[in-house]
Amino acid sequence: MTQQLSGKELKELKKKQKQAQRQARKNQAGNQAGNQAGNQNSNQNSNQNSNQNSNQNSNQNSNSNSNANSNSNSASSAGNGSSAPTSRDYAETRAQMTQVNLFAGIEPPKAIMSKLQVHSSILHLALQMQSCRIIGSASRCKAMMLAFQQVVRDYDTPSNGSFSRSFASHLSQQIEVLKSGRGLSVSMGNAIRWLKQETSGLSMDISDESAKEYLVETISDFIRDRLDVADRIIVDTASNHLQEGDVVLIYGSSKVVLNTLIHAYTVQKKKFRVVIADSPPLFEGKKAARKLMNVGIPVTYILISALPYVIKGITTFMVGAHAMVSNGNLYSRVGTSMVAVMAAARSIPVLVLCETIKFSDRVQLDAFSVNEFIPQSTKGNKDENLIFFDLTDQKFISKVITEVGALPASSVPVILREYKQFL
Amino acid sequence: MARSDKNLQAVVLCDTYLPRFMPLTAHKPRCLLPLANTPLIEYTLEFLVNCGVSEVYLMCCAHASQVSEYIKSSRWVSPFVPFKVQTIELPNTMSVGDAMRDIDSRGIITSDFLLISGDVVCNIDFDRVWAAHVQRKNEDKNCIMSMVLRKASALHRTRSNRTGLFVVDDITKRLVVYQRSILQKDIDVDSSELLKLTNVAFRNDLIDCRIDICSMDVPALFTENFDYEHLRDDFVRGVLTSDLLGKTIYAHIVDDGYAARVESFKTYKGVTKDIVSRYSYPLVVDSNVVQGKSYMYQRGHIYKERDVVLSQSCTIGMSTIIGSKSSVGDSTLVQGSVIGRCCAIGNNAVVENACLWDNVRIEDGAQVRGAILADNVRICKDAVIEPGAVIGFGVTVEAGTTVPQGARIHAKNRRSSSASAKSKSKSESESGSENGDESDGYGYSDSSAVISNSDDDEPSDTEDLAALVDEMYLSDESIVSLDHRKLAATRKPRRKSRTMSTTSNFSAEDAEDDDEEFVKEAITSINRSIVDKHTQDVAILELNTLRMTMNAPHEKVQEAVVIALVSHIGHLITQSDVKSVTTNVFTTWSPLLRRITFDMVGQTNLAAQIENNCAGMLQGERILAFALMTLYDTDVISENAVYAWHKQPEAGSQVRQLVDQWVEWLENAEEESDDE
Amino acid sequence: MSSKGDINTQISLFLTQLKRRQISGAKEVALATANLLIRFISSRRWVSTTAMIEQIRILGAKLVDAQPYELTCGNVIKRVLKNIRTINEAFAPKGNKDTDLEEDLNPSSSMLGLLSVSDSMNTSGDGDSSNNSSMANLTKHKSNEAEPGLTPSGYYVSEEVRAKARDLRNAVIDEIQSLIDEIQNDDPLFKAGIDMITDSDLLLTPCPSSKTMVDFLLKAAAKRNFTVIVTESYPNNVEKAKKMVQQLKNAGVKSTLIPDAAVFAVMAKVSKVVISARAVLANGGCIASSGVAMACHAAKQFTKPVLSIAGSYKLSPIYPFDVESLIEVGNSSKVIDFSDAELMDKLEVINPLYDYISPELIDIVISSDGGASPNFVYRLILDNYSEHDQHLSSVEIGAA
Repeated sequence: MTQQLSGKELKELKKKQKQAQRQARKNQAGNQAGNQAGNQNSNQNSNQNSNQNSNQNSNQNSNSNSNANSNSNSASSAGNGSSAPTSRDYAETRAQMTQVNLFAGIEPPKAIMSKLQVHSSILHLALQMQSCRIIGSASRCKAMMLAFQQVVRDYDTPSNGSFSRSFASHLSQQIEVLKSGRGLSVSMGNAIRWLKQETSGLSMDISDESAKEYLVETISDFIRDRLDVADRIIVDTASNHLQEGDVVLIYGSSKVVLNTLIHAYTVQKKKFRVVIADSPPLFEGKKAARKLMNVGIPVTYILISALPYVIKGITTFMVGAHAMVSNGNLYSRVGTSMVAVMAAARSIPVLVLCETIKFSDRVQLDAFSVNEFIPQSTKGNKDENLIFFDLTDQKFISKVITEVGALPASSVPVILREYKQFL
Repeated sequence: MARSDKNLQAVVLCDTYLPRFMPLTAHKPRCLLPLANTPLIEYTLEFLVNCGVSEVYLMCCAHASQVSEYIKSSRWVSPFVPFKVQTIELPNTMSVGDAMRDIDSRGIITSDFLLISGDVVCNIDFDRVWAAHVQRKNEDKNCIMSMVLRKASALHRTRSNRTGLFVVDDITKRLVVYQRSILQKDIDVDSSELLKLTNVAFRNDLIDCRIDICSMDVPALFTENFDYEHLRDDFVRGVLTSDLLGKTIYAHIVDDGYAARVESFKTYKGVTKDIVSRYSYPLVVDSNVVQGKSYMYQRGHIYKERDVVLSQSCTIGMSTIIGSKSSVGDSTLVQGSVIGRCCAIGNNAVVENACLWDNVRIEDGAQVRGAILADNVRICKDAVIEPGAVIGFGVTVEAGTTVPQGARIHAKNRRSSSASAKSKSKSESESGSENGDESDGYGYSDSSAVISNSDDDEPSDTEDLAALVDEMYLSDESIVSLDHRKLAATRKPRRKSRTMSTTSNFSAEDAEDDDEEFVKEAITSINRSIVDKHTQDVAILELNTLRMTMNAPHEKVQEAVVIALVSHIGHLITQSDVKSVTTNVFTTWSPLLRRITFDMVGQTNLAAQIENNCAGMLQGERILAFALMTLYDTDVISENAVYAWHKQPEAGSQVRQLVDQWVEWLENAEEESDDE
Repeated sequence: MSSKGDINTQISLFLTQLKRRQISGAKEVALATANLLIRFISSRRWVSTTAMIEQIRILGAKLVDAQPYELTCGNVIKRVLKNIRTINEAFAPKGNKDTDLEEDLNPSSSMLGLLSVSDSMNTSGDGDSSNNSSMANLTKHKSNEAEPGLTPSGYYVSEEVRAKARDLRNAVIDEIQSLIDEIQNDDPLFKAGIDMITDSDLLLTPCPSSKTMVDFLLKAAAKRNFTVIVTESYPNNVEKAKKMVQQLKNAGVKSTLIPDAAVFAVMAKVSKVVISARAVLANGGCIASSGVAMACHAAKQFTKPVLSIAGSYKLSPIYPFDVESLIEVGNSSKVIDFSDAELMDKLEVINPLYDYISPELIDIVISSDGGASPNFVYRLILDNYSEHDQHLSSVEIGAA
């Protein structure tokens, strides 16, 4: 089975490589003819895609036409730069030949799209998300909703249209820009769907002003109910799962997990230790460590590869989610599945803390089909397959703690279905 | 491996000539103080092995014989050691400068060598440092020194707060300015120098680990400038500020590997923690490099040697070292501590973040936190030792007593037997006697003399305050060596008041103290100007800045200048005759003197100052005479001022004979001119 | 006599080099140990195998104490001991020979054995090993205790016995020499390994620090067409991982680097996991660089085969009762930068260098003798080592 797959893949790979080579040759010829123009073009491109995984792309870009010239980037710049392009070119193709593309289906990060109609706060947010300045599904969702509030406030209905109609298309444009910075998280998608529903449900009769007011208010309510209060309920529930003398393993820096630990330590006065597992290139664990240290929780800090050595004394593994997919699997920061497997192998309970806004009705089996690349600006090595997320099978998850209660992972679709009208 | 043919020599300065580890260094040389149960010098020598050094010279002053003994009986004399160790005992040296001059006079240095302090813990890749140094030398013939600095951060636990500020040319890594320690708020930087450079970094985040690659010129420069005392404050500053010398010093800033120096109690604790938590790997406790060690590592950074007896109910917390034949009793908590060999800790005791050396006994219920207990200390039942305390060799703390934060306790009769560390012992005298008053120095209880602990009002940060107090001693020491009897005399009373806290309510006493402080600073400043041949404008500027910051009266400025000049003359007259020297010096410095002397009173005062300083000096009367003549000639002092001064009673010293004649002549001449 | 001083110096030097981690890596340590043993054995005159075994055991205990985490050091010594015992058997007259294997190995049954007083091998090494301050002790100990009634010149040792002793010495040195050859020659190992790999395999290796692994993959690439995924092995071997990928690419092997955290995510596509063990223990478990255990756990979830390659000098007769004591903890500053004052001051940082991989996570152990199931490793170990030599010293790590 696997061999067949990889064989097929190989064939595909080769095909792509050939295409890439052809493309490269063509481009080079083009460049040599119209030198100046070509140069500028590629320069622009390289600027735009400066934090892109250029090597990474070169294969898959060749079949997606939209980015075709970014492929020429590497080849053409090599060709232009050197006086003997053939040898360089050869090295380049050879490098491509030895390239492995594990995550071929996943779109690499792109340059942020700029539109006339884009609101400055949205552009700002897109940049912050792209650079991972704002990270974490819930935080991103909240930031987006706040930005939308701003968009609503600043929106002027065109003279010929009604608010609800024209705003919907305006909103779509904003979302498109936002999406171009970094793919939308599940929570953001859910929130957007809700907002669109709200917008379309607006009565035609009410004035622009009151419609705006209504939207701003209802967004505030949404943030309060689905994010802030939900977090608080989860913190309350989850902190009851901690006991005196526990050693809690966490991975990454989920806000709701950290709040739970801090709550249990400072409010409930439980004495426990935390082990933070971390991994490059984001090193979110350091951020978490600082937060926990500051309230006085004793922290052991390790890198994920040291986990087998440390796992012996651990009593609980607590993790946040990017999303829960409807077949019950956890879609979270890459490495979570590894930690969960190690924990489950030692019968350590794996608790997932997840707001229902992060529940997704898509199904997913592995980390290849849906994923994101970590933007390269954080640390650039183009040969690493820096994916953002992975998928943890529901059999490793002991419990999912949400604001509507604690439930087994298999109940995610139940929640999605039963609570649809409330969520 | 290119090092093997370069025949690298290393000079280890085992002594810093500073009393920072008192009272512990009263019995043991500092390089033999145990750090994580291993003598300090071992770490330095281990580093030298990794450097590929072929000859090592240990320059020892205090307790030099102990160091020699130690080396003789250690593994460093065995044939498989890649270098030859030679201990050079220098009991008469008073400063690092003296040691360097001694090296120069011995002529043992044959090429660029490694100058290292005897308290360095380091695992950096020396080959890279060496290669960088060689390259620098190729590019810049004037490069005489590369110093290794480890990037840390300003408040790093392993960084001494005495470390200076380094101003580095960011491109070439040439050191532009070195500014000593935190106590000086302003930095004096020649802006014209900085403006020449495009990229300059002011680094206050570096650990100065005192690993320097020096050229042969360095010891020679010490000999040339016989008043250089300190490696950094005098030598580095001297070289950097001297335009004539034209030598350059480079900073080699490393940002990987471990490099630190145990120079104070603060860094002692910091480095101990680093070693325990394996930042200095492979220089860790369980590598057992030193003979006879048998440490084994356990989860949670716990290191245990063989034959450790632990009770079933005791708790050994994280980051702990326990030496052989030590025992821990029932329900006792030991955590974050270093415990030496043959220590006995009783039941229900608490030992947290402490360093226990060998043979320490802690009885039931005692609590020791954040303290250093030297060999053979005994802490009796229910005694409490608070953080920052240092308890010297063989002291017994009686039952139920509390040793306050930052106290330094010391057995009296033992230290008198070994008061070999001349100048240092002075500064420690009161800490030694504090305890001695009561019970023959072996007991300490609450009722005994109060431990002067000026930090009481700010207990939060004893570490730093303790360091500040140390710092005061440091500045004292640097003055002692200037050899001004006058100063030494005035300094005595100040010793009594140990109120060198950071409180800012100025009393009269404080003001007086400040004046003294000012005079010292001013002298140093002028000396620097003399040595480095600054222009007088610079010197004036410096003096004025000092005067402003310390709010000192003008007389004090005069006093300082005169002291400095006269002592300078004193140094020079051995080489040439008195007249020319005196005339020369006072002619050159007359502009400065003119600018600090404003009126008749000032002039009279100046003359008096010179007289005071010449008193007791070799050829004092001649100096006085020529000085006054010169000042008269250059119109610094008016005729009337000379008379006014001359009318004042003689200060009791016999230095006026020559002057008398001159004044007489002066008077006569005046009469004559009047006649005309 | 000067040669004796020489060998003591060499031993001391080797000891400190081990302690300073100047010599590290399974193969390097194994070779250095073997070479030292040759010098040690050739530096003296041996009159009995018992004495030789005794002395080598004492030496071995010191070496193992010096660097308890480099198991190959002990392995080589134990292998040599076994060889000596076998040679001893060969030297023994046929008539004396008992059919029982156990008896054969007992030196008292040999001809030379009758020169020594008794077989005191099981305890005498222990007391001495605590005192490793100087090698001079070793020689003293030797002449005083190990050979009671025997002076080195051997008054009542006949000429014939001396000749035998010379032969013995040469035979042992020959054996060690061939052991060195075996350690240096990885070809049989690779040959066995290549058979396990097929065209279009997608291999994952979490051992970028192993030179054996690089050599193996390069060699295999000549015969097979496969793709390699290398884990980054952060923080201890990142540079080596990058170098390894580059080396493979230069040789035309398709390869890529992934962060350790992504191991589970990519495992679905991987067809085989290849690991390079630092040591294979008596239960079939392995010691390998940190991060390997996780990869093996992931492989198990996807039921992907795990191949462990290890030269037979890495087979170790130790049973991992206390796993932690086999794992060295390395430099914390690789995890938290030294200059980050706040974090380094308050966090407890642990950076283990190795992982223990339990036998149920491994499918095949490939050694120079071919592939074997982890369950069968104990038998291989029995072939290579004598049970008398399982522990050289009382404090040997993992043997508690």
